Amino acid sequence: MSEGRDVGYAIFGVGFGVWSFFHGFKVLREKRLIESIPTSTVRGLAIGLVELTGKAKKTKILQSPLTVTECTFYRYTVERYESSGRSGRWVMIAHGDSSFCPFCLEDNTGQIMVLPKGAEFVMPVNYEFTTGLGRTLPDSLVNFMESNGLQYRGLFGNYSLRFMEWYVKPDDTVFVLGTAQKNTTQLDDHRQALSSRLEELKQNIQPASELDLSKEGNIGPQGWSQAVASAEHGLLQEEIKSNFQDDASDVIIAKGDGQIFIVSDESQTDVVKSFSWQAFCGIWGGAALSLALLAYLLFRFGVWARF
Amino acid sequence: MSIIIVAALIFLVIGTVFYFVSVYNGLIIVSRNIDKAWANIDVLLKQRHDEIPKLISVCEGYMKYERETLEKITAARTSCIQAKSVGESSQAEGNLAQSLKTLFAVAENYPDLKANQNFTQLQGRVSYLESQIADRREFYNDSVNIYNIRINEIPDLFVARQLNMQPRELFKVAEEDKKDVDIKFDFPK
Repeated sequence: MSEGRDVGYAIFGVGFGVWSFFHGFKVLREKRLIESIPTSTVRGLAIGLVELTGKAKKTKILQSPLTVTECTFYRYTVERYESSGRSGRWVMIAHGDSSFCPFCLEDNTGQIMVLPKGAEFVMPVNYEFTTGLGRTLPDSLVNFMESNGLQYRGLFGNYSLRFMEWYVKPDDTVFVLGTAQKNTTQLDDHRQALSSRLEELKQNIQPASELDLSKEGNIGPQGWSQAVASAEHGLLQEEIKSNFQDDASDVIIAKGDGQIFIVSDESQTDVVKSFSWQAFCGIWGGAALSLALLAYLLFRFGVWARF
Repeated sequence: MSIIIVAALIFLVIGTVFYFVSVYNGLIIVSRNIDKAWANIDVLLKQRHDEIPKLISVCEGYMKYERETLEKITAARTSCIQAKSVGESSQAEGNLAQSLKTLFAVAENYPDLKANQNFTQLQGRVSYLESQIADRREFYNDSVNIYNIRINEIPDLFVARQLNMQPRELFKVAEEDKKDVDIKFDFPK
């Protein structure tokens, strides 16, 4: 290792160890929070931080990009191995998830929509593929790379690539710790659709003249109320036909302001175990790493001998 | 060497402080969760109490011979409002739930009432509220259970003792509410 480079790594390591130490306490706090909140039923949940367990149900047809699996949620990463000298590292060249698309969580008391945007996902990898000798890219991955304009073949053959995908299939059991809140998006959409209809009505002279109940050449309050009621009725009928009532309710689970939001396809016990390990490794591992590298730095600069 | 020992001691002290702060905060969270869970039951009870006078007024016109059943519901509703402790409340709520069950069972004997749309809607609404209340009571009991376990666990026990945290009362169903509903039908002779 070149002169000074090891010192740089060691200083970075000390910093990383201190960060891990404090991060471990953050994870410990989250773990204790999960343990503190009992699991609600969909029917009995109240506004605020809630914990739910149930089956994932799709609201829209989703297909995971790498394996083309029908799912309610997906996440993927594509990495390329870049070597520099003797060492090398995996560099992310593409990643994405379906956190923009809500899914439903169903337990034996009802169904609620979950908007996974901003959630921390605790999931085991469902699919992993690394290119190598004799391992050619499957068609689905070739399609993905080509459709996204990503290079997978160089002058000397295929690049070293690593693909990872996580997904939640319909009817998989999911664990959600998030904030139950009023579905303002749905109300906003409804209001917007209604106002655009009324705007159309104003533009369209023929139906508007039918609302001139007094036949005085203008639309009175009674006529306008009738128009609003009629437009709202028409809109509701369309929303019911498009399964609006089935897919959305007035309460959703999403990320609250500064609140924890976890989505997992593991059980609560497994999530707690995973957090316990992270906290343990962060706190003890971080402290140990910092102390070991601090000792190395002292030794390296000859300060060790003086004390 | 002494720098390493000092650094290790700093980690140890910070770690211990952070750990006990997280234990303390955790205890406060579980304690407040109980209060919140109880208040969330109250929200639904209020909604149900608001529905009961409407239900009685719909039934009154049809169930002239069931004065006693309707009066029992009114009395049970009043005692629910006046209940102060978890025990009193659980008993009063049990009586009210029992009286409502009796009312719905007796209503089967009045086809005109069963055909009344207002009654059907109110019955559905009250039954749904009953289910929601039952779910929230279970949630309340889970919250109390977590708290009661936590204050007896090590190391939380030491902090809980310092804070003089006492075990909380679970919501229990009264013995009489576990009995079958007593229904008397007044068939016309």
